[in-house]
Amino acid sequence: MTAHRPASEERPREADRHQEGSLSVPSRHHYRLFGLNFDSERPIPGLAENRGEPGTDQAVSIDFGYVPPHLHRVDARDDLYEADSRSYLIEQPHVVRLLIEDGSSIVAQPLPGGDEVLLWNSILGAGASVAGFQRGHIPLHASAILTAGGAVAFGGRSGFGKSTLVGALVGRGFDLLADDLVLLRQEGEQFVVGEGVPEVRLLDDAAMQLGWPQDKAFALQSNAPKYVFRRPAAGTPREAPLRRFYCIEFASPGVAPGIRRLEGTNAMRHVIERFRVRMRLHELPPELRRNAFAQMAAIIARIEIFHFVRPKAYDQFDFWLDELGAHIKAEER
Amino acid sequence: MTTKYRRQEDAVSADLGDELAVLNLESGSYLGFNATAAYLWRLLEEPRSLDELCKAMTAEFAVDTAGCRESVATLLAKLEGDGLVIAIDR
Repeated sequence: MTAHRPASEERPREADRHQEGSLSVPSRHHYRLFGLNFDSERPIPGLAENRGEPGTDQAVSIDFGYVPPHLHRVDARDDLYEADSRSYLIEQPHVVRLLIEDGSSIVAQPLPGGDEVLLWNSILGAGASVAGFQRGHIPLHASAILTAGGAVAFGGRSGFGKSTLVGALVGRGFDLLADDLVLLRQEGEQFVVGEGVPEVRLLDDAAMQLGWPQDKAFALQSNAPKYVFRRPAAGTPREAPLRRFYCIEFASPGVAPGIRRLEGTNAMRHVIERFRVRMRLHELPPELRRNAFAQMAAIIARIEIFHFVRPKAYDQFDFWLDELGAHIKAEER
Repeated sequence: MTTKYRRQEDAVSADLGDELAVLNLESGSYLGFNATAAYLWRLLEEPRSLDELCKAMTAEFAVDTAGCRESVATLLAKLEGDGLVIAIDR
């Protein structure tokens, strides 16, 4: 099976750049995202290149080409992914097939029917999550802001308003750190969050709620559909220790709105549920379970975990946003 | 011969204050233990009989002997079923 790309997307072959008497070396594109260095065959659309600090970790390479449909050895699988302790293969139908290996290589095979927005969403979402996990980091399905005291993250199931919340907090003066993926890197007693792609992805109604005009969106993610709003890049990618994690849930007859501290096994359950690799904890290849479990327990021990329950309807959104903002700022005093 | 119980060697536990989370490495599932179950789990680091476990539990917690015996036996059966505890010397 060979990689297929529509003719409209054909790029000049590297050989066409050859000049008589010299060899042109294909250039690579360098980024630091989520606390990882990336070295990409293609530029990430709309993102200025930035290099990590010299001496930091080896880069994760991103290349495009054929990806086999199956791994040779499989320890965990479902309809969309296969994995062993070093390799992870995932197919997002009509978008891309990704092979991520040893935390150092992402190979992407674009599939017919996909577009570039979805392609890079997968590479920098699932691809970066797994590459980070293979390096011993913890990927969480969460968004994060940067405060004076460090990073504050918001986790929740898809559709529970992580991006909306972070977008609203950005509108109130907080700095965006990451949307949809928070990759935690343990450094001694701390868990460090690295800045992600400077964008927030919002559904139609969320964008309207926040007053973000759709015609100002950088791109449209067709599968949701979500509008991709790019924020101005900060320059040098920022990193900060995670100091607080809010688990978002919608209010229901049994769960009233509010902000409540979570502790012990209840806190751990919420954090484990936000683990962002398609495999659940019990589905991880056995060699990876112990470390993942230990790291999540360490997160509970060192990070304040809160349950943020908000009404689903937007009529009280601003009130609960004020409460949350005050709760965040109270800790900084 | 008295049956003794001890925890599985490949069970991984994590202290969460008064509570405990225990991971079964083989299955990947985990359980959350409250303070009394966590105390029992720590006792099971060494092989102990049901009588020995109840004696230690009643000394630590305000529970009657009969109620403790029933609760501990029920918990041991569950942990055995989950593969976190094994019975020896049967």
